[in-house]
Amino acid sequence: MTTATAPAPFAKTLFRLPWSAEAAIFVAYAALLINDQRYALIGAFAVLLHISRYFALRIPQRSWIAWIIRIAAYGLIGSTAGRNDQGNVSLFDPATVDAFGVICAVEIVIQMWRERPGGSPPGAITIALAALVLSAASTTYDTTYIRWLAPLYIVFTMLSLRSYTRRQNVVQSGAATRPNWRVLGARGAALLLGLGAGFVVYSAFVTYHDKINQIGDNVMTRQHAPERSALSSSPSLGDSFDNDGSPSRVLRIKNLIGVAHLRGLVFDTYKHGSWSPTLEARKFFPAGDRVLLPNARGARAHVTCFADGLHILVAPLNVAGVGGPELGSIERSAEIGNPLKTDVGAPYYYDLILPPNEENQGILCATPTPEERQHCLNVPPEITPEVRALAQKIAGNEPDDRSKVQAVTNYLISNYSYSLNVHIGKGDKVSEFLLHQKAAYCEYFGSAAVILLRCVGVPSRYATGYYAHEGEAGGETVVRQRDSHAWAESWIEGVGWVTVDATPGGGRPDKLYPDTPAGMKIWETLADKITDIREWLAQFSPAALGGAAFGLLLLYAGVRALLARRRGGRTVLRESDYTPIDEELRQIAARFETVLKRVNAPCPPARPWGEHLKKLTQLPKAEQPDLDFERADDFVRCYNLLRFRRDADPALRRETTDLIDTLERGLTGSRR
Amino acid sequence: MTMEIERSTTPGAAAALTQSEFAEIVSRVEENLGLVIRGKSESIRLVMVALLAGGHVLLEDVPGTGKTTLAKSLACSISGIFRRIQFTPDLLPADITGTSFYRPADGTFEFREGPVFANVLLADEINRTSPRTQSALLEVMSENQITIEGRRKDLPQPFFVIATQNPTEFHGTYPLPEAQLDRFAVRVTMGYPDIAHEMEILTSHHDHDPFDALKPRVNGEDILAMQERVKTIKFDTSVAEYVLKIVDATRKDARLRLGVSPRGSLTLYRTAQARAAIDGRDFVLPEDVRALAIPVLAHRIMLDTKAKYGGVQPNQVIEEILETVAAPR
Repeated sequence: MTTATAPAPFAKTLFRLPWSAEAAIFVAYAALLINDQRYALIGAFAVLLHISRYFALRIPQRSWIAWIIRIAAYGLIGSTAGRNDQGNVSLFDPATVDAFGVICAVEIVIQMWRERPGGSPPGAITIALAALVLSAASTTYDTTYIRWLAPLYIVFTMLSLRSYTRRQNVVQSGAATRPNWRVLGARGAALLLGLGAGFVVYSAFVTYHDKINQIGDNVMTRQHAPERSALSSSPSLGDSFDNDGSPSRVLRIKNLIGVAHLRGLVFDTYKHGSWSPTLEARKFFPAGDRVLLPNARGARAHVTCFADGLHILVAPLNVAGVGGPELGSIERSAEIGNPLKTDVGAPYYYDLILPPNEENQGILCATPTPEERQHCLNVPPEITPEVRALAQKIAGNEPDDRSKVQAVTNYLISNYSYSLNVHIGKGDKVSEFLLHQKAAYCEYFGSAAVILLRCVGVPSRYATGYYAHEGEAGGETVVRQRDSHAWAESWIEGVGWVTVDATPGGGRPDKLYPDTPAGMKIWETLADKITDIREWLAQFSPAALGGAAFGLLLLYAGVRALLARRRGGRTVLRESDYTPIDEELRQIAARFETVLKRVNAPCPPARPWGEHLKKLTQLPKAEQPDLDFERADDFVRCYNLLRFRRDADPALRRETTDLIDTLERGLTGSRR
Repeated sequence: MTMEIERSTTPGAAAALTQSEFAEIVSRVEENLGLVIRGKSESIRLVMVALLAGGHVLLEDVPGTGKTTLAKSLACSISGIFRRIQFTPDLLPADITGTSFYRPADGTFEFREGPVFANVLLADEINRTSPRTQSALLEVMSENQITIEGRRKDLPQPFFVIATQNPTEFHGTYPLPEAQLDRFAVRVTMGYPDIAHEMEILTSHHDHDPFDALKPRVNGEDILAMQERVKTIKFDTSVAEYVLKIVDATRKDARLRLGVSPRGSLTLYRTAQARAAIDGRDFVLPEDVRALAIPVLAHRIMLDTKAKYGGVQPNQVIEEILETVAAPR
């Protein structure tokens, strides 16, 4: 508990910052305020700092009040720290640096109002903190004010160092006012060394700030730094594919049952081995919750996406609804498979409504317009006539679209094999694959399926996404970077859009890679727990969280106070706890207390008057209160006889009363 | 010069000593001690307070600071018997209290008194002897008598023990535990003198020992009378409450495993009376209690482990308690 002692102007028990140190701190504060006008409260810090020299009240050393103030202040200030485009806290964002500077500014005030161990002055720490405040304020492109304020700060700091070197309590005859040049020199050297070291560290920070930022993001974000998505915005068929099989998680989905193909993007224009249009070429519009989550029925799956880059909301083709409270905005394209996008940085969360019907035509399955249909039937001129002939041979005689799709799929699976070694020389990639290579990876199979189906009149498009296969205990499915896959989507009359995966079974992600090591799964489980907590917290507004935190702090403070009281913590006992004295004497005592207060020398409750007067007389002349000490001593002597000796002599009482009258008269015409 | 003084049982002896006589005697003794012990008026005053309160003193200090000199000077000043016991690990209780020797000539036992039979006893380095031997002395201090072979022997009066303990050495020592430190009225730390006073020491020892110039200033009977007078010093209820509130605060302080015992509160009570008497008053002020709180109480409390290893000192705890307990006005 705070020990409330009455204010006392005694210099020897109260450290005051030298005027130059205070000026240096004000300069640093001013620099920060000019840098970032959001922190107008810095003015209040300056006032609090200054008034600390007029009051003896201090937060005791072991009190938790200082920590309460710190947590509240740091939390409030830290919440204004800057976030980069991905929504992660950036160490080098100007707002973050400013927040750090304000935290240092708050700490200066706390240090001045805190009781120091052994009464030592907080000079060194305030110098260091003020330097940090100025450094934070200097991170600005507008250097005009820094050019003036920084030298001013250094001048004031150097002046203040001189004050700190003077020992106040050592009596050295003839040398009381001579500064200690050795100490001054040592401290000046330390200051210069600190500045130099700070410059080196700062330069290193500036040079390597990207890497440092990455580390900071890794530490401060909910997961590891977001992985780049394996989905390309403009896929193209290449030669040998060196798939390193990255096991980094892309998605974590709860309650995903019976779904394997999670579609990301769809392309409908093939040209010389590449699919387009790119994501950037498409128009996206705000989707709105009403569009995405109408009265959708089905199982609800919850997706956590760790991948970044495209901000695509990966979903099965038959999804009935997509949404989530965390998503700031969902954008949707009205064309080419209606992909969904969000501007929220990874990791982000959303729900999928999965109907039981695999071929449900949901929000990703808009009926193609005649133009779109034509696009999806277009066989590019570079496709050789042999390929067209092959398509006719495979599925030309099938009665309907569904059987054509089946025929093409079976043909590709049965007659072609999966291989990462592809060497296509000259010529069209798909044609060469179909006619000569006959072994390639999923992108070729997907592209080939699209081309063949288009050749037999089935509108088809090329889809990229992920193949979900790694189910875990608890109904969760994990999708990793290496599970990226490509397939086709075809429009079947009377049914709608369907997924067509023509990659042979051995080439699908579930067959290609070994099981994920158990250790990795354990690590992912732990990380997920933290993610779940963060996700749970995200549903509450900052005001609610702040209120809850404040409530917890109050509860903690109350419990501590209760325990301290039960243990018999120190309490200040009042004068009234003693055996009462007669009323007249009590009034005389009150009058003397008033006299002391009026001369700005109130007596602390724990100190007897005699001791108090003795201490006052030991002060330097300039600091002694304007009090008739001789009469005050006489008064105290007489009062003590009445009070503690219980002297009943009426003459003594009259003398005591006369003395207090005299003391009171001595106050008129003096200060206040 | 030694004189064994019978304990005065005459009630009137106390009343015969006026306040001015009391103050004058104290002044003479302190002045006498001041010839030898330079720059330690506060320590001398504390020793006088303990003597007049009927208590004993523990001097805790490094070697060479004048502990033995102070004890010898005090003994000389009150014309009493001075004995010194240098405690060693092989010292036995009988070496303190005395033993009976067999006389073959007539087949009887003769009791030879131990060094404890003195007016002023210097128990030097009490922490160097075994706890069993320490207990023998401490028992004597509290009882003021010895029982040997069924026979009770009173100690000479006044009986005053100055024990010393070196706080810096730990090897081969048995530091007095807090429960036994309670027997000492005050704990005094003399410390090194400042330069000016040390210069006076050097100067005064230039060609003679100042101790040789000491003369008795008071006899034992007067000391006893002064002790009786101390007991008559008025103690207002509110000041007594103040003492109890301070003591109670030590018992409730979370940092203390052991607070002050009733013996401690009684000692503070008595020493406050002694201080008031020395100051020329016949009543106690709260200032007396505050001035004596640390020397009287600090060695009686026991810090808990967390406070001890957190760097908290007993003096600091008492100081903080004094700042939190309102003084009566």
